[in-house]
Amino acid sequence: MPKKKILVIDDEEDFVQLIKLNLEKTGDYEVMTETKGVEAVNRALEFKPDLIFLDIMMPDLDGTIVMDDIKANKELEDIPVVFLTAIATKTDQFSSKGGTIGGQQILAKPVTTKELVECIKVNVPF
Amino acid sequence: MLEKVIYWLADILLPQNVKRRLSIEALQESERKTRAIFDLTYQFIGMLTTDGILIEANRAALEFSGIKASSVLGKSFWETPWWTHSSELQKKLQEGIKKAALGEFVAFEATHHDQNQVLHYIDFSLKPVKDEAGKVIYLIPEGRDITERKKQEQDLHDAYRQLQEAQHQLIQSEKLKMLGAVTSGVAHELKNPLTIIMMGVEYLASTIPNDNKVASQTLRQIENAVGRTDKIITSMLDLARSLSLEMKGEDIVVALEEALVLLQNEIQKSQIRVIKEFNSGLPQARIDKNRMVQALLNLISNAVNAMPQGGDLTLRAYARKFSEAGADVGNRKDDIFKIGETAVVVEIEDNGTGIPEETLGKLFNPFFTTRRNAGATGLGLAIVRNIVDLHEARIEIANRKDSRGVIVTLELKIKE
Repeated sequence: MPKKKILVIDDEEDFVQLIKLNLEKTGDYEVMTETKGVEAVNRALEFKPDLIFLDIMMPDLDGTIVMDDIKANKELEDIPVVFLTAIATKTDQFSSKGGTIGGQQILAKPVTTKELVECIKVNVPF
Repeated sequence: MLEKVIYWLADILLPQNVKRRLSIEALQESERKTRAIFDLTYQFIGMLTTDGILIEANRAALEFSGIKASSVLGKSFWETPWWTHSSELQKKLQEGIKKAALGEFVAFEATHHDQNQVLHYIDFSLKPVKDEAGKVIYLIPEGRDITERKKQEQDLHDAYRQLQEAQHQLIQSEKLKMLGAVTSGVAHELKNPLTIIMMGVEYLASTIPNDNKVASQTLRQIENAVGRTDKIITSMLDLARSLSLEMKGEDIVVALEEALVLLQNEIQKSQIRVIKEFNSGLPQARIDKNRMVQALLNLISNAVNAMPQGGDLTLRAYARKFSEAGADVGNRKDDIFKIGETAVVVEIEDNGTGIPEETLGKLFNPFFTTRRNAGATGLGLAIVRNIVDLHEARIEIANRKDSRGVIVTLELKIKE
């Protein structure tokens, strides 16, 4: 089975590196990381990920705008995007049906690899 | 006295026929004047013998309470209907009469019922009347209706207190807002480094050799610490955020079901039987649904935690009309529910071990918990209290009377 491709966009260099390490260690995923919001769409276009984890509070470009740009792009619009954010709390995550806010999926930081994997499995079944 | 003098003068100075006519006229005139002053004044006035027998009462006093003169004159003053509603007042009056009979001026605040049985506040006094020798011969009781003034004073006092309270709340809410802003700022900043620690630990845990027990244990300890820190941050954020709400008319049963779904795993794990007693056709509750779900989640979660070996979790929802005054129920301004108002009531009942009496009063204190070792932050019920208060709702947590366990009663406003 080919590895699933995951793009992680977050301005914290250490964080994206560790996500990459942990996800790739499972053997099921190939992970690309990006620390600049403005580069997100380009990175997605060249990598063609199966799923994108997207931070919201990024200094150069807010994650919600990145999201709009992704959804406005015909080549990227069907890729599931999950907000990975410190703005929401676990209470928000769990007290909203299926972990969504306004129809948008969220994972509240801090996350574990297990949570990331579960989230990928739900969104990218095959 | 005056009457006697007039008689005497007339007798000396006037011829017999004139004397008779004049004396009668003078007497009548004098009587009319005295009577007019006595009767037409708004004050209640009477006259007592020194041992307290009522010998005169003016019209104002009699009419005020709907009393006939014939039924009270000649009686001990304290046994008349002005006083019989309160034995305490009767005693006070008797003591006052004794003092006044010794020449003292006595005044106190009393209450009298009017003819419609409405209680009025009366500024009451007893004045001794002395003869030339200084001996007390009569007592003059006087009463002035000060109900209106009292009411104004009370209103003023109430208004002042409300103002103070509003000011206090304003300061409190400003403080809380600031605390909220600081808390969320700090909490958000802490979450990123926490995530890095968490991820780093996970990576290390998967790379160290299996036989290095100390290293794995150390990593697990770090992981637990991160988990605890995260829990505290989350609770503080929830607390900070529960400070403002968006109210709508909602079906409380939907909120209850949502909270239950979120606790499904825990409920199944502890083998708890959920009994739902939801009345149909309930009025809509005026709630911020997300926050109410959060409150219900905390409450139900407590009930579940109280029954680790399994048990019955009973959830009820019904409407209640308040028919009599009680705690927070009545027609005072601070009462949450008015008499006649309908509330949507939620009950959450477990049959766990219950709450020790000495703990009951502390349940809502922030950071108070009996499960600190199990990683509880003690903010759960503080958050619930916040949410309940902001809903102008009422919550009570008590031990069940019918069996062991706890019953939580939540009374919510309905959408008008």
